[in-house]
This record gives sequence, C-alpha cells and structure tokens, in this order.
Amino acid sequence: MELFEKIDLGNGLYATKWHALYHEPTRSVICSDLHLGYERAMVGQGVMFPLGQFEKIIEKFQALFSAFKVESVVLNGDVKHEFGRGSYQQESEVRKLLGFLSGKCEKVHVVKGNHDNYLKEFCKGFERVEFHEKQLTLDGLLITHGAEAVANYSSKTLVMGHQHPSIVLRDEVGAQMKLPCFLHKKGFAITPAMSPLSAGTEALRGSATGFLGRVLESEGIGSFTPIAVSPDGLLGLPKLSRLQRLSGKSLFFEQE
Amino acid sequence: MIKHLTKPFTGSEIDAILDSDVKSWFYSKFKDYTPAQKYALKEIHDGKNVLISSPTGSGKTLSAFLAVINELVGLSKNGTLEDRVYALYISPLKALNNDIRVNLQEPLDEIAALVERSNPDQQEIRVGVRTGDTTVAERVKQAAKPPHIFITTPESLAILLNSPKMAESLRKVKWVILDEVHSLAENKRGTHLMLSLERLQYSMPHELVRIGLSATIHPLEEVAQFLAGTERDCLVADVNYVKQVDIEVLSPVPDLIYTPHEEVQRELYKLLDKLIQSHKTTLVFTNTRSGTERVVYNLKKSFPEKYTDDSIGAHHSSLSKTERLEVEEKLKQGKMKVVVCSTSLELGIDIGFIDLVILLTSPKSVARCLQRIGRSGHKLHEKSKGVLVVMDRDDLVECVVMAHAARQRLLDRVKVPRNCLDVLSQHVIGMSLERRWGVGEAFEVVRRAFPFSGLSMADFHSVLSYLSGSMTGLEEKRVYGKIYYDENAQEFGRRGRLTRVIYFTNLGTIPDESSARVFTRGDKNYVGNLEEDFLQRLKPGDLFVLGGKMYEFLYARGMKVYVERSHAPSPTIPSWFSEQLPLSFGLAMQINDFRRQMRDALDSKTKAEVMRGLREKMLLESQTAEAVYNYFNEQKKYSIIPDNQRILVEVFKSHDNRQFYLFHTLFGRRVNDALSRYFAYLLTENKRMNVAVTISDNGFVLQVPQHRSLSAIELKQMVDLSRVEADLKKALEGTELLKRRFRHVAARSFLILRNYLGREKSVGRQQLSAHILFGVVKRISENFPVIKETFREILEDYMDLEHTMQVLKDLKKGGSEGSHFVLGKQHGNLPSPFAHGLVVLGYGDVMVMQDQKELLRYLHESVLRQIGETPEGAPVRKKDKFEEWGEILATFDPE
Repeated sequence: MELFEKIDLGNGLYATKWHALYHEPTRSVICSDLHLGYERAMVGQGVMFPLGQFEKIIEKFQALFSAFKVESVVLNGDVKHEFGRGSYQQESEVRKLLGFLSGKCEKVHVVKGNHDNYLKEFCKGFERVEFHEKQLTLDGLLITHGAEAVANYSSKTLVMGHQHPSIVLRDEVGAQMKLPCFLHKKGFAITPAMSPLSAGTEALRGSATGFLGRVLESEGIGSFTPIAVSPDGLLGLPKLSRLQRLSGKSLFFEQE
Repeated sequence: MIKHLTKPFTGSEIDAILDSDVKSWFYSKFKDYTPAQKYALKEIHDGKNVLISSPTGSGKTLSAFLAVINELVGLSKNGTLEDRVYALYISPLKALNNDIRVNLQEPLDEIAALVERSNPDQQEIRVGVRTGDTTVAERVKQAAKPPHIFITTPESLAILLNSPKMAESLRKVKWVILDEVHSLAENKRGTHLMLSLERLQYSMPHELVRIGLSATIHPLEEVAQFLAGTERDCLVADVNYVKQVDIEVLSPVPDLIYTPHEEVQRELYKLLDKLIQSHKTTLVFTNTRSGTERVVYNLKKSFPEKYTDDSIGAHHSSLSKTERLEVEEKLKQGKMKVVVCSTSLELGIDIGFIDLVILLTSPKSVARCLQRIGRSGHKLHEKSKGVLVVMDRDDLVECVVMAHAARQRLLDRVKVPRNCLDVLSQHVIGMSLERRWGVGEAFEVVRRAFPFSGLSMADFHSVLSYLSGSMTGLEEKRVYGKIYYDENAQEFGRRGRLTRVIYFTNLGTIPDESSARVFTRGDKNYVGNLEEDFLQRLKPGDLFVLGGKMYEFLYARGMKVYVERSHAPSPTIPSWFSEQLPLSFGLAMQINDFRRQMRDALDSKTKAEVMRGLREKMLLESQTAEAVYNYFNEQKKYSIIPDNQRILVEVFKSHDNRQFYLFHTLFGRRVNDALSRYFAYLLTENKRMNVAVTISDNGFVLQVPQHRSLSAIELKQMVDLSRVEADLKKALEGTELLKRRFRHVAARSFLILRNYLGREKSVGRQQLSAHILFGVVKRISENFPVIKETFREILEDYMDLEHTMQVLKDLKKGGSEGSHFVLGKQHGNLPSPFAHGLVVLGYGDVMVMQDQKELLRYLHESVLRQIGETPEGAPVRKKDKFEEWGEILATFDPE
C-alpha cells in the first residue's frame, strides 16, 4: 500500500493530502467546508467544545503553500458554520483567514455555500478577496459549492464540496476505519471537508442532498472513484461500484 | 475504626433510654424489640455511627427512627423543639419516600395522642418530603418552616446544599439515615451522595450521626467505611443470621439436553404454576424485561382460569410509573397471587405477603440471590424461601454452586467506584457556588468521602483547571470556565451568573438514557426502538430481530439507527443479550473450585460416591445430582475439566475456513470482556490480523480471518503485564461503548450540558456532540479529566480490570501456582461439552432460542458418539433431521 502526497486526476488537477485540490494550469488551491466558528456554535448549545480548528486549517494552508506554487485560493463554500451572523469567534476567524491568505497569494475566491449568510460582508475590505454568490469558472473548471444547482456544466469539470464525503474500509471480521475522501470521475471532482472536526462525525450513507445529491444520483454513485485521505497521505481506491460489491456497504456520506 | 457489634442490649436496657410515652406506644404495637433494634437502637441513641445489615421485615427502619423520634418527643415535651431539620432520611428510591412519610406519620400521630394526655402543650413533630417532584409552593413552605424529619433523595440533597436558606437549616442536623446502602455503595449515585454528606459535615460544628440500612452485602467493613467516611468510626450490626433461608434448585425436566424445546417450555410453566399455587403470594425474578413479559404471557395463556389481570402482574422498568405503582399497591395489600419482575423489585419497600421467591435462571451473584430471596418471609421468624429454576446445564452448575454459597453466606464483594472525576467536577462547581475555597482545604474535605480517599492532588488540580476553562486558552476562560481558579494563590470560587442555573439544571449522575429510533435506510420507515445498551453492542453488519422481523445494522447517527431488512436465516445478536447481568467474579471462582472438586472426585471415586457427595454436600435431589454428574463426566471423558488454572483452549473451523478459538475462561463477563479485547488487541498489533470477539460469563471466542491461525503459547508470550491497561485503552478506541460512556461522563462533568439556557438537549444531540468532542478533547491531553474518567469507568466499573490483571498475572506466572492454556484434545472438528454453550452463543448468537437448543443437542449427541456412549433416554433421531441445518452444521461435522 502506497500513500501519496498528491494524485493526478487529469488535466492538471490534483487531489492532495491536505484535503484540497491543486489546479496546476491556474496555480490554484481549491477547498471547501471549513466551518469556521463551529466550536463556539457548539458552546452556544451547551457543548464545551475547545477551540483549535482554525490553527489546524492554517497549518494545512501553510503546507499547501510550501508544496505548490500558489497564485490563488478558492474557498468553495461553507467557510463559516453558523447560518446567522454568528459569534465573534466566527467573524474574527473568517477575517483572520482572509487576511492570512491575502498575504500569501494574489487572489482569494470565496464561493458562497449554504452556511455562508453574511459572509459577503466579512469579505469587505480585503482587496484580493472576490466573493461569488453562486459559482466561479476557472479555466476548464466550474466551481460551485453543491447545495444549489448550476447550469451548463457539461463542457467543464464540475468541482463541488458540500457533502463531506468519507469512506469506511471494513474487513470480514468487522474491523473498520473511516476516512474522508475525494470523489472523482471524468468531468467531476468532489472535495472532502477542510474542517478537521468533521472527520470524526458519524457518517450517513447514500443520502447526499441538494444539487450534488442529484448529480451523484444521475451519474450513478458507483461510477465515482474515491481517494481516501489518511493522516499519512492519499490512498487510491477502486471505483465505488467495485468497492460496494466487495464489502456490501462501504460508502458513507457525512451530512453537513 | 470499624467494629462489629457482638452483643445485643437487653430489652430493659433499651426501655431505660426511651421516653415513657414512646415506650408505651412501642409495647402497644410490638411484643419485643427485634434483634436489629437490640443491637443498634442504643448505639444510635448514644450518637454512634451504625450500619445495620439485616433482611426485610427485621425492623431496621424503626431501629433508626425510634431513636430519632424518642429524642424529638423529649424536646417537644420540653417545648424546646426548634424550627430546623434534625434528621435527614435519604433513599435512592423516590417512590419509597412517600411510603416512609406515611409510615412515620402514623407512629408520630399515635405517640402524640399518648403525649397529649400529660402534655397538651407539646409541639408538633413535622415530617417533610423533598424530591424532584416537590412543588414550588411546598418548597417555600419547607424553607419557612423546615420539617424536623426531612425525607429526600441524593439529587435533591445536593440541590439543598446550594440553597442558602435550606443549607442553613441543615447545618444543625443531628442524624443522617441512608437507606438501601447496598445499592448506593456500588454506583455513582452513592459516590455523589457521600461527597454531599462531606460537604454538609464540613459546614457543621458537630459530627453527624450516620445510620446506614442495608440488605445483606459483603464486605460489611468496607460498606461501613463508605457510610462513615474515611477514618471515622462505625459500628456494624449484622443481623442477617436471624433469617433462615431455604434455597432449592429445580429443573423443569430431568434432562436439559434431549427434551424438546416445547416440552421444556410446557414443563416450565407447569412447574411455575405448581409452585405458585402451593404458596400464598409468589414473586418471580426473570432478570430481563422481555423474560418478564414472556412469563406473564405464557402463564395466562397456559392457565387462563388461574391467571388473570387481577391475580398476576408484571413489573419492570419499561412499564409506566402508574402501572408499576398499581402492581406494588396490590402486592402490599396481598391481592396478587404472583408478580413477575425483571430486577425491579430487588429494592424498595417491604412488599408484604410474599412467601416464595422464584429465580428463573441464575441471578449471577450470591448477594443478589440472597437479596431477592430475602424479599420473602414477611415476618421475621418466617423462613425466606427461594427456588432457583434452571434452564440449561451451565445454568444448572451455576445455580447449584450459588445455592451452596448462599447457604454458607459466601457473598461476592461489592465494588465501590473510586475517584470518579465526573462526580468530583460537579461537586467542585457546587462548592464554588458556596464561597471561595483554598485548594488544600477543599481537597481535604473531598478526601474524607470514602470513594475519594485515594484521590491524588494531581487529579484534583486537573479537575480544577478543566473547570476553570484553561484547557482552551486563557482568553476563552470567560466562555468555558465554570469556576474561578487562581493557580498562584491556590484558590477557587464562583464564576459567572449562569453557572448557578447550569448547576441546578444539570446536576445528577444518572445518564439520560433513551431508546434509539430505528429506521430502514432509503425509505426511512420507522420500525421500532432499540435500548441504548443494546445499541452499544452492535457493529455494522450485525443481524438482529425487532418486532418479529430481521434487520441488518448499518450505522447509527446520534440516537437514530439505520437498518436494512435482512432475509438471513438467523440473527447474530440475540435481543436479550445486553439485558443480561454479568456473573460476579467471586461466584465464578467458586464455580472453578467446584469444577476442581468434581475433577478430583471423578478421578478417584465411583459414580455412587460422587452422587452421594452431591446429594449430601450440595443438597441436591438425585435427579439434579445425576444431571450434574453426567455433564462433568462427559466433559472429562471427551477432553479435560477446565478451571481457572487450567484454561482449556479449543479450535474449530467454519465451512468457509474461518478459525474460531474458544477460551474456557470462567471469570464472568466483566473480566472476559476485558480479557478478550486485550488478546484481540495483541493479535491485531503483533500479528497484523483483525480479530472478532464474542464473550460470555464462561469464556470467550476469538475469530480470526481465513487462512490465519494463532498459537495460544505465542499469545501468552505477547502479554506484557506493564502495558495491559494502556493496551486495553487502545483496544477501546472507536468502539460504541467508549463513545456512549464518554457521553455519560461528559454530561456528568458538564462538558456537555444536558440542559442549557432552558433548552433540554436530546440524547441524540448529546451523542452526536460527544462523537466529535471525544477526538478533539483527547488531542488536548490523554489525562484530560473527562477522558480519564471515561476509561476508568469502563475499565473498573463496567469491566473488571483488577481481576483481569490477576488472571493475566497467573497466566504469566505459570508453574504450579499460576495458570496455563491447555490445548484441548480434538475429536475431529467438534468442541467439548463445556464449550457448547459458548459455541451456540459465539457462532452464533446465530440463533433464536429454539434453534440454540437444537444445536446444543446436536453437539452433545455427536460428542457422546465420539466417547463411545449412547445418550441414554435420548430419542432416536434420524440423521436427516439435521440436514436442514445446512451450512451451519457443516462447521461442526468431523473432517
């Protein structure tokens, strides 16, 4: 078993072990589902969640910046967690992140996700940050969060997040391991969540919602190939249809 | 120091301390003092701490209250009775509290009537009850005019301690009476209560008089220390001897192997009916809720004219409170012929007219056996009578040894949970709400409670810094902190205005349990509920029956379970599994002794001699003795008779080449759970293979993948005694058990607030939060108090790490003192008779009751053929009868 730092998905698009895609032609990092502010949102519900997600995410970006030449970063939706304006923590972490990224590359694209109300306002004042209500076209890529439908994507590679896909590997005696994963096939690439907190969540199987759910259904979930993200690197896996046959039930989706 | 009371006081010595009216009242009601009263009454009067352990109906409650009433009557006559609480009575059972009040009010009224003649100016002695159900109006009244005798629960007491007005009135309490101490000593409610008492004690200028009332329990010295607190004196009045106990073991049929299932069932209900009809009122314990329903249903069905809703009742924890109260009430009034319960009537009020207790299958611990049987024999001089009805041969041996041990009063040890950091966290918050504390001072107070006598300062500090919020960085303390904590000055105190509300609305140790709702995947159809503890055992792919249909467990999300309809022939998890009580280690070791004695006897004696020994020493009927003899004799001829020193290991293969290793470790499930997980972990680490585990009280099964095998010798070599605990913790990672226990501990520690800002959080949401939270908190530190306590609770309370270590040490030691793995003689691919129970469970769990029985029978018959015996009395079976077993049986066929 070999673990990789990056895996070529074709046309200069790479899956990387830092939960993000790297697009070589445009020198862009594309990631989704950061869910900043998650901890404080939990505290608001009486769960004393310690802070720490922000630092982990910054570490991942640092690693991406040193591994690749990066000119732009695309945050493909659900940058923040709380649907409303949210806590002070949330707002300050979003601003800190945008400031940090602005200092590291020339352009920061923010595509709105279903959690991202008020995000546009947080983006104000950052010259290099560009906010996109719905989608972003980057070279041959059409980047959208995945909750809401976009049109005319057939000639592009559709890049989405939203669903936090993960995969469970299991053997005959019942031992199992759950890892976040990329899903891809020709013309499609789906990113795992950038948030380190989502990896441990109990997963839902086969219930992708929104636009992404409809796409997966019409394409046939079995036609996608997962790439699992382990702490030590990427693990290439056979197509889902083959995996499903292998263990019966191996694909899980996390519901955001 | 703990001292046993050895000499009862005389009637006249007790008369001398009683007020004249109290005395006249007593003799108008009773002829003489009971032994419990003769031992304890005067000591309590003299202000000594006393633990009274005695059976139901022995007047122990009155022993405690008579001394209290006596003194209060004296004060009332002098007109010196103050408006404050003199005596606190605390019971874990909320339902009990009203009964106690009624039972107290009556004598108080009667005595008052007597006093009235000479002292018309006497003051009224008030009795009050405070539980979660007490209305606000009543509480206000109690605060204004405190009851002299205050009846409450552990949780309500904790709240009272932080209610300034009531706390003030409690500060002069003289007596604390703890009821059902035996049930408090072994769980966190008791741990929590003992800390409350220490906090109360510390606020008082004088020493409390502590009176504990307990059913039979062992060791009394430790329970007495639990009651009194570290380094205080306590007297023990053990008056269990006064009750004669009559215990019998009965089997519904002479042959538990070859009798067809339907016939066993028929005979079982005939036997139950015969026993019930020849007694006035019978109480039946079935151990499980489903068993309770089944027995009631079948008795009604088999004898519709004798058992109707008026004469038979069911009682278990899933029934509504009203239904339970109604049954209890009818039972007290002697209106019921029979009541069937799971375990729910083990505790509680004197249930009256019961003259027979039937225990359907082993109650798994000698103390529990005696406590249950002690529910019968209303009057003191009446014998308690109990019948153990056995259902299979392992059950038979267990019950035979249990009955013997119960007659000799060889009780298993109760285990007090120690240093529970979640309970401590709650109290530290409670203390901080009172005032500012020095760390050293608070530490001393905490350590006086017996369950915390071994608490380390390091753990105390870690709880303080957790509660102060420093785990998450200084600037966030404002949000996360529940207490103010100054590390330099070593002081802590109150923080924030919200904390008080949070404390009151989240306090307590009983986790929110609920059943999970089960849905089919895809169409999201709701199909029913699963108990949480059952869910804890499930892993994806497991098959189970719900509402008569079979489902495959896919995954759980919070408290929602997703399944898929399955058409497999049989479930892999029997639905009663999680309800079963674990066999106590003490009783398990006694069964091991019995196995050794039987082995020696079979080696050196004739059958007639062995049978005589069983009849005379174990008081068995001939038929029962014969069944025991046959079971052991078959095992000996086929293989060896294993015990705790000779641990038999057997191997067999399934048709698809999976290897099963059977370990005859008769140590009870709490040890086997730890032991099997530990071994499985060693194999995954050292041999790079995945291992599945199945456990029972008598052993465990390890299943390894196709074409892999393991050597018991190698397994033994892998054991590193210095790493067992650490390895077990790793083995627990990712398990449902760990996740759920973490949720319980996190809620008790206020890391997850069940009730926040007026909103109650569903169990599902709590669980979901706990899943994510666990990983995050664990990264902060392995020693984070909530994590540390979760592992402690699992390893020490849920499992039994202490005895697991002992077992592993013996195994490492080897030689004549230690223990050994002994590889079983293999006759083809057939396990020995003692393994059959385990195989049926291990392979599977495979079957519903009826099928299990069939498989057992098949195994047994094959074994007898191997050792050249024909099963006597076994009906001649055509071979093809078994062909329908198809692939299951292929496993057991000789190669």
